[in-house]
Amino acid sequence: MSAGAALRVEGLTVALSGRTVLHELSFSVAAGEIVTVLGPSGCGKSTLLRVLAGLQPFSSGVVRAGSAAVTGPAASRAMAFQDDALLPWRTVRRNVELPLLLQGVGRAERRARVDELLESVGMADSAHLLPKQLSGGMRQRAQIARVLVSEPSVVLLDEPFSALDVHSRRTAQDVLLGQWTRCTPTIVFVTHDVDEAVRLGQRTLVLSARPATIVLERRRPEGAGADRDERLRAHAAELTRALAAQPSPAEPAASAAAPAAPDPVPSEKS
Amino acid sequence: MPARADAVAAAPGRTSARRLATRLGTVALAILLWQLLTTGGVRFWLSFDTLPPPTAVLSALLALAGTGEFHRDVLASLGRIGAGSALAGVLGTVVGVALGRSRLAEDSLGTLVAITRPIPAIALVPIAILLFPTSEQGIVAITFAAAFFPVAVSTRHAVRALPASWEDAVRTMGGSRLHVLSRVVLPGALPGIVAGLSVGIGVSWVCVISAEMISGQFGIGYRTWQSYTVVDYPAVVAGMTVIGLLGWLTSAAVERLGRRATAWLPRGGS
Repeated sequence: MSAGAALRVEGLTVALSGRTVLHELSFSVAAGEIVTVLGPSGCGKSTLLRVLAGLQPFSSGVVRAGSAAVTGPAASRAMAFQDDALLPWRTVRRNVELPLLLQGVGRAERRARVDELLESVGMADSAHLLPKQLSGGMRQRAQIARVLVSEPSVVLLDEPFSALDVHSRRTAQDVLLGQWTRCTPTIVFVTHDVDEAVRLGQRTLVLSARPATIVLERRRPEGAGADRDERLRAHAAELTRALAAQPSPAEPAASAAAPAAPDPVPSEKS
Repeated sequence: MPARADAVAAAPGRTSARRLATRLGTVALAILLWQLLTTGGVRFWLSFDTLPPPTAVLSALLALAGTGEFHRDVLASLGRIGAGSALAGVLGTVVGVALGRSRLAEDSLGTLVAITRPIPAIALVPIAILLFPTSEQGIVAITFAAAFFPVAVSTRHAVRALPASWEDAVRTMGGSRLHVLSRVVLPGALPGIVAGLSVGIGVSWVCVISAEMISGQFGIGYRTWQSYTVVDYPAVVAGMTVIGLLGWLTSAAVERLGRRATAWLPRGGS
């Protein structure tokens, strides 16, 4: 394990209502690194993120953030959610300033930091709006601003962009990468989309179906050589193959439904 | 631009004027029908000839409205409703939040609530007379009991329905349990609290009038019953009319408060 690890997980096992969800996971994330986690839906990716956030108790293993064991949530490990988790009665500004408010930051400094961040995620004009007045993409950008406003050392993102259309998703990814360049927090980003994992992740972990173990760990090819695109395509292809090898929970249900489907003649009568 | 804004504003204005006309017209029509049935002396299964006509009720009402006694009665009833509903609003919210968030509270307090809830508040009159040193306190207690259960039950439902990610988000911002209560649970459950209060205040009017008729020394319910014992039917109907108007006004006030408190809900115009 590297000395500069921002997050370190060893032998992590989590059981939810008697069923093992995560089995003996071990990995670490260096400070300032972006790691993406890929896995079939329902495999326990969100559970892993909740463990890292300190929201989910675990059965066995060691989870450390820096030098301290993770025993509960902390402001230094911020988390973003798939449903944007913006409080609907607070305007964008009051949502984004909430972490600062809870941490006791004074009014003038709150205002300055929220203004600066909203400007940099392109939402300065929407500060006074309620979440219901925003598009999905804007809501997720507001959430990213809220997660980053207190400059946490670790940022955990649980499929925040999965419900967005291609264009808004790309904008939101760019906003996230732009913010990362500014203050380089350690990022763990969970997704089920290989393109997103490759685009954002310097390193990608692929999880198996439940009980989840790490089946593949690959660093993204970097550098600007002539063959860069080709190496990136190969990287994405390898991740896709590893993901495709995992049974998706939707498949057994679909194949079970197929023989039970009535033949066309009686269904025409009904 | 101003011209367009006017055109947009004019449409809802016209609609609300038409709706007000419909409301007033309906009341006027009902009063006209009442006048015709009573002055015509209609006896068709129901004996309208013994019922005081609206004109007699109106003069009784005008005579009543001039007396200091009437003002004292109205203030007494409104005070009981105000005190009972305020207590029910606070305690109902506290109990509802406890029931919604704590299994221990649900098993202990929740069992008591489940057993006492089906007892109509008006059936508590004999107990209230026994328990409380003054009949005034007994009447307020009955009014409170009537409004308490709708608030507690509605609050519990609202608390249970809150998205888990709102609470998780505040906890990963470093928020304490108290922060979760004050920043997520109470504002998030507010629509449910207000809905419970609006049902509760309706029930408390029924109970305050009944309690005043049984054990009061003043109050609009007591006055109405007094008029009946001296066979002053126009004054009885005048009292009923005042009860109706007061009940309608308090419900409208709670509803107005509710709309302001829940402006952030996704439904409705942005």
